[in-house]
Amino acid sequence: MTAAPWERPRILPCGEAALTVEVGDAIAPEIHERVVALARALEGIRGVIARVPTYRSVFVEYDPLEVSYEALALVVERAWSDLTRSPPSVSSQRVIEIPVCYDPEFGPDLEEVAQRHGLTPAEVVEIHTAPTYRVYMLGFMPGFLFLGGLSPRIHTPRRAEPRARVRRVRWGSPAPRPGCTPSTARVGGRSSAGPPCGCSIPNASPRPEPCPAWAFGSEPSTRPPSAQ
Amino acid sequence: MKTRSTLRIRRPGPLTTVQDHGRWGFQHLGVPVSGAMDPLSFRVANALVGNPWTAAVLEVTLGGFEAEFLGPTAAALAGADLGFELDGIPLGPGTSFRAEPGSVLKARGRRGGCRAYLAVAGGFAVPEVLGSRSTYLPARLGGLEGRALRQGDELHAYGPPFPPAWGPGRHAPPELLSPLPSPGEPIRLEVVLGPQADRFTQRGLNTFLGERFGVSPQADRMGYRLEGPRIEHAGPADILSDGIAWGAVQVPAHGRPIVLMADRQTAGGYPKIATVVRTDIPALAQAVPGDTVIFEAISLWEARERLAWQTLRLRRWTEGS
Repeated sequence: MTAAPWERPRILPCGEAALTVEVGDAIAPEIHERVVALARALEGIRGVIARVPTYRSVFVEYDPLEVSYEALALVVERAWSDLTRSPPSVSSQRVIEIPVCYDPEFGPDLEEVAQRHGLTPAEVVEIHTAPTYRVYMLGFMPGFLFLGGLSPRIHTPRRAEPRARVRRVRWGSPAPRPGCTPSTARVGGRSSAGPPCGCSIPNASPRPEPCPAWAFGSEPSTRPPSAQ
Repeated sequence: MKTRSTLRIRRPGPLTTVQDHGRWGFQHLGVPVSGAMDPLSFRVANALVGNPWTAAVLEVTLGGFEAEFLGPTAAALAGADLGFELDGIPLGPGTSFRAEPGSVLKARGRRGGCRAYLAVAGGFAVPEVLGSRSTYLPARLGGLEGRALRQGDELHAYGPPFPPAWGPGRHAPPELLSPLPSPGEPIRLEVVLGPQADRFTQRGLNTFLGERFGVSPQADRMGYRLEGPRIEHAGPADILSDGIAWGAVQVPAHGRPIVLMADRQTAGGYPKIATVVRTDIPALAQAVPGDTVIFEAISLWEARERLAWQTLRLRRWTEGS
């Protein structure tokens, strides 16, 4: 695994109505910048239904009766040449502070994570709140954040058996990608903390922008503030 | 928009939800697409009552369903054959009918398939959430209060109860009816290999394309877990999470495939050996636990051609009759 984008992207068909463009094979800001820039380059193309930036690839859903795989592959490869000539500048430094509570009720796995690494729960909390995490992608469930930047000192494998239900919002820490779970979900990651207030997508209005700028442009970073 | 009182649920059966074409374009926020599991039957039911193809319908699962009409309306059924009767008169899949106030629609017993679609003129009236009326149960999004329908629920529909020049007793042509599994016959599903077919050994690919798989009891709107021989990975069964297409066949470490359906998560970290083509999604959506499937690889271009022809046939039938 290297932290730089590949020389050429891999354009992989996902059936006849979607494709994935892989640009590297690591979780690294340099690769993610390229992912975001590529997702932006695919904006406004007729037939493109969704663009999902992920850690190291852009997933593109399209109407194959409006635009062909070949035409999209051309767009991707042309955009790639442009991006190679003038690499994208680092996206925004916006930081979102998320209040979190590490009480057992909200962080059912905190004790286990601490024991596994020979730390006290307070030390885990300190390590967990220290970095500023990068938001690499949203997915899995509405608003679930896939983050990068967790300290290797608390990397913990996924649960062998997913939890049947996780309540409201939690911070998970499957190494090296902590996540934040909204609403109710079946998850395999670890829940070491949760914010005392829920944050979920409202069922009705206000209607979010279909493609908020930060989803593709200026990725915010996020960090849990120090424990209270 | 003006609505009219249309239907009261007497018995919802195991699962009845409001669905439409799906909540497309919000996957980058982690919002699953959802929508009708069988997109062909959904479109046919709407076409039979003169609706635009995106109108909301009821998706009735397995049977046990009974409802009373509260006003006159054009209506239609498509998809599974759940033994529907309107006031005792049988209604097969792909048929339009006229309901009067007090008419009772009842599913008397499943004869084939899994999911039936009930459309009424104008479409069921529920608030649009992120561009769709589809119910996504895990996040309580869309549909009627984000939940499955219950006894006593009253549903409204938009606009006039009959479209111009509409008649009951219209039948969809056989080539536009979703195939329902026949006992003992495996369901043939065409797939396009990839995006991560290279994460499997040749033996694993041979198993996938050569063996039969059974639909397990863990088959729901999110995905169909299949049982059968183990599909061998070429390395670790773990990739960096990436986007998931409708029909993606992911294979976790245990080697048994999971086909991701309407309520699929937007991203996942298991390698995807292949993707079921769009025109074969209906056949799988009509499968129930115990049915068997076999996979057959076709090219991306063949898959596109099948979709183009189906879309053209749908259009010609809708416009021409």
